[in-house]
Order: sequence, then C-alpha cells, then structure tokens
Amino acid sequence: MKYTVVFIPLLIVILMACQPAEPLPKIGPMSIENKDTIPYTIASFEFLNQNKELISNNTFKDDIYVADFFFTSCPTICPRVRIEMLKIYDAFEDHPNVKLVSHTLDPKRDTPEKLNRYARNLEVDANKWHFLTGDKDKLMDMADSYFVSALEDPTVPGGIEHSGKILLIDKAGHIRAYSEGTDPSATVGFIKKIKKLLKEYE
Amino acid sequence: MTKNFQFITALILFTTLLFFSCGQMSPQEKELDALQRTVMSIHDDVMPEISTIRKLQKQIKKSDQATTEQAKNMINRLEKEDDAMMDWMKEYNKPNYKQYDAAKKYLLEEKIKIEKVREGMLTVIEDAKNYIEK
Repeated sequence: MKYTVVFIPLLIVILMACQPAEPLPKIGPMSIENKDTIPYTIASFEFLNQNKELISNNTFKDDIYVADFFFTSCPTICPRVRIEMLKIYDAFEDHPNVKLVSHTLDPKRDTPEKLNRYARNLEVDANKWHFLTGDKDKLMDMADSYFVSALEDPTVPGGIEHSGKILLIDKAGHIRAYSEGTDPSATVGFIKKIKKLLKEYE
Repeated sequence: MTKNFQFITALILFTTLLFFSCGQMSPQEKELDALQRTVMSIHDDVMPEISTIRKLQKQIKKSDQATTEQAKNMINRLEKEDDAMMDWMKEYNKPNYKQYDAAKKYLLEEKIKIEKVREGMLTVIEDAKNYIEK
C-alpha cells in the first residue's frame, strides 16, 4: 500500500516524460496542391543588411531565424522589443544556425549606414543579427507576409507591424512560433520553442 | 562618547535619507515626467495609423488612376505625413529633467508638434479614403 502511493505518481511522471513532444505547428493558412496540403511559407525577399550585403531567403536555407520589425528612431515599443531580441541573441550566441533578422519600417531614414551604427552600438555580430532595409513598399509587403491572417488581431489598430511581435521561421520558411516582444515573461517560453525547433534538425 | 554617538546617529540618518531620496523624483521632475508621458501617449495613440497611411498609399499606387495628377498629389500628401511622424521621432529626445525651465519649454513645444503631426495624419487619411471612394 505504502509503495503504491509512491509508485503511481512516479509511473505517471515517467509515462508523461516518455510521450513524444508535439512538434511546433506550422502557422498560417494552408494551401492545397495536388491533394497535398502545403503549409504557409513566407514570401521571397531581397534586402540589404547593415554591411550592404544582399540578404534573401537563400541566405537562411541552413538556418532558423527570429524575425521582427522595428525602426531606429522608435521611442516606445521598439526599445522594449530590442531588450527581448538581445536576450534571444545572448541565448543562441554560440549556435551558428540560429540568426536574428530585424526589418526596418523606416527605410528612408534607416539606411545601411545608419543600421550599421545601430548594430555596432548594440555590439552584435553582423553575421548573426541582420538589420535589413530596402524599398518601403516591399518591406511593408514583407511585414504582411510574416503577419498572415492567422496572426492578425483585429483589435490592433492599423496593423500588426507596430505590435512588437517576434516570429520564429524554420529552414523551409514556415512560421513556427511567435511571441510578444513587449512582454519579457514571454521570451523564456519563446527561447524554449527555438530549442525545440533546433531539435527537429538534429 | 555621547558626542560620538550623536554624530553616528546623525550620519546614519543622513545616509538613510540620501538612500531613500536617490531614485525619487522631485515635484518638478514629476511634473516634467507627466508631461513627457503625455507627449509619448499622443505619439503612441496615433503611431499605428502609419500603417493605414501606407496601406492607402499602396492602394492608390496600384489603382488604374495612379498616374493622374490627383492620385500623385494624394500619394505625395500621404508621404509627407508619414515623413512628418518619422522625422518627429527622429528628432525627439527626452530632455534632462535637472534643467527644469529648458525641459518644460522643450516638452510643451514637442506636445504642440506631435499634436500637429496627429492632426495632419488623421486629415490625410480622411482625405485619401474619400478620394478612393470617389
């Protein structure tokens, strides 16, 4: 009797630990092609980073990356998101296949030179954290591509690009997770999700 | 001995006072901080409308009327208000609260500026929507 009391909870714990973890979902509307359901993939892009290197989907074919939208002169929301992005940067600093990609929403003022200074002030490595700029309309289209309908919150006025969301993209360009960049408590869980996605590729 | 004791007590009291006063704002600083928050909240409230401006701009650019004088004019006006907000943010700097007069003057001026930006943005959005509906 005494043993049963100890064993049953222990057994439950062991059983639960043995259950294979559900993989991260592929977020966004599915499409159907030849009877196969195709998960949503982010649009193709080509932007310049802070070192004036051309960055496209192809740059990240062997990497998973964390994406966000910002601009350097943003006084309120972006600085809060930046703190969370820095935490993610620190957590995966030694992991070569995890990158960070911040897209400016103000390309007129955020030139590659300006982004370069910004990145240097943050003391982050340009091969790890890309700050992208380019055509304004294309950047806005890109924001739409990341923030697909599944993610959109109709209560956010004017669009989600100013909401401070952070997204996790896998090697195939699927959105696998997202987090509130303005909520420090959300980042811990988001970092766990990044680790979980990395395990898929081990 | 008593003198020494009094001195130590005074020193402890003084340090405690200093400790508590650190990080706390004076009434003047509190006033400036409230003003700074007002400026920021005006900005935060209207900032999401930048997306509206850009969506309207894109819609006009993609329409078959895009090359008309009226459309170009509307696109430019939207661009101007987008720039007004972006430039305001670029130039705005939280002032040094230790310099009360200068900080107050600056914040009051910035409040007027951001209110003008808000008005310009909301007006152009209204006009662009009317233009598209025509």
